[in-house]
Amino acid sequence: MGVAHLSQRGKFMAIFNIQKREIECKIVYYGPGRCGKTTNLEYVFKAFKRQVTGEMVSVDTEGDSTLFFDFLPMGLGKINGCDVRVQIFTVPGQQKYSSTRKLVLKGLDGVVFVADSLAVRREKNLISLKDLQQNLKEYGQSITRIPLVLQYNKRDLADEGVPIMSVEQMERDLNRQLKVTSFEASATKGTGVGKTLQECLKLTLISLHKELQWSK
Amino acid sequence: MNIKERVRSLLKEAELYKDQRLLKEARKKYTDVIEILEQQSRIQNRDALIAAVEKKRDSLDTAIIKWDQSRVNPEVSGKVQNLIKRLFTASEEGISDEENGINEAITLAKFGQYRQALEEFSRLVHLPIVCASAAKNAIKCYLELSESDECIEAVKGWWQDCCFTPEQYASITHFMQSAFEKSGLDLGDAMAEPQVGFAGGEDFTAPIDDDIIDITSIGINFQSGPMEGQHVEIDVSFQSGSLLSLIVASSEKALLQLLLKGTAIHDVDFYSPIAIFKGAAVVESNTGILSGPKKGDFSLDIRINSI
Repeated sequence: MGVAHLSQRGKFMAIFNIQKREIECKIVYYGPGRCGKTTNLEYVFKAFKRQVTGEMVSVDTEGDSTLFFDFLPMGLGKINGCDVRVQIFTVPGQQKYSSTRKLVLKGLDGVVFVADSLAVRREKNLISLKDLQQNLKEYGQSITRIPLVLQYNKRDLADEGVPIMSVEQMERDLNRQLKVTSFEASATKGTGVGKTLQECLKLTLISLHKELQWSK
Repeated sequence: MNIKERVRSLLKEAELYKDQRLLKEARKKYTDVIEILEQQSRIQNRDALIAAVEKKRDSLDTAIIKWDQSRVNPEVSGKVQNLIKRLFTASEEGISDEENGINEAITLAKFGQYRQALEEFSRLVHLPIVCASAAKNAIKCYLELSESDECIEAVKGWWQDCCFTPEQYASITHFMQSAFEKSGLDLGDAMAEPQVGFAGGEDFTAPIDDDIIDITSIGINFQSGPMEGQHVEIDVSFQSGSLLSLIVASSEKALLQLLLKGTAIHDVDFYSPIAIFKGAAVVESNTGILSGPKKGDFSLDIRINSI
């Protein structure tokens, strides 16, 4: 024995190896197609070399959209005497990949929802957030209880003269009920990417620590 | 903003959306430009401008069609397939290597990697402990690959190679019949009848534990009758093995009429914390609640028949 899979209804799916004192948790980047989930991960891969423990794997199509998922393994070192490893995934955001998206979501411990700031993508953000809520529900999890962070990506496009939504509008659209921490970001430039991930990791680890009591 | 500036701004937007691979949004902006230009008779080279924008829009149309027609789950490299198996196959303690092999191949099939999954199921068919499960999953893969003739030949070949007991073969051919029917295919008398009795009714593709997994709610898909086409979700209030207790409000008169004692429910989604399973059930009881906060509502017990 020694490996505990916390898979009770509505709880987490992190793997806790009691003997080795290792925890492996799963963070998923969710959001509409072309919102910048993969770009977030690419930046994390480049900027957090010290924490990255393996190659980033991307499976994409000819059109450069994520096909199945992107995957990036990270190690956070020892926290409260436990070695914490993190598997980061992105889901394919396009409508037609809904079944794959659901498969990738399974067993997650924390979510970063990446919203597209472009005004023309407003409806897609709403549909994707609803899709996340529904998929979590089908796995017995609740969007209001899962560690969740919102990221308003592509803020830099305001400088290009294209219509983007104000942060206030995005908060009203996406965060009025959730009331979770949100960050403005530009994944291509790296702005806000680290903060978003750090906050998600923090919330996830607090939540897991509460659940697993691993320092005891 | 004058017309020239408006057109310039829309074109800039369209180009940016195109760069972002937001093809439909870019197309919409090109269409807006064309419509504006068509209303202007005084612009020099108007027709040439419209033609140029139309050309850009046509090229987007080609890209959109190509994208729409692209396969959702194309076969990927062996390296990626191995990663899919490693990352998405639930690790279970105490299961054999053969059963783990089945789970890994099922994971591949879930990700649409039918060719590789079929290869693995075809290998696992020769291992007695998982032969029946491997055969049934292989049949599903063959049908996903539209290779029904190959499927028949493969199953016949496995039978001739003594991979199955007569009971297993009967179960597999029954499953095959049902899978072919669901795909709109007629199996006819292509398969030899085994010389054993078989009760039938088995309709699952994955090895499942003896214990029924926790079901949190169910979704009933009505395929006929007054609620045809409707999907109704009901929370499970209590579960004892394969028996699920549900509470249905007295106001749901039509639903209660359709779920009378003894009614078979053919298309049910069973929601569990880890996945949704398709299956069938039968209503074992439907009784009015006579006291307590749910007084007047109805308590239904349904038995899971297959999952």
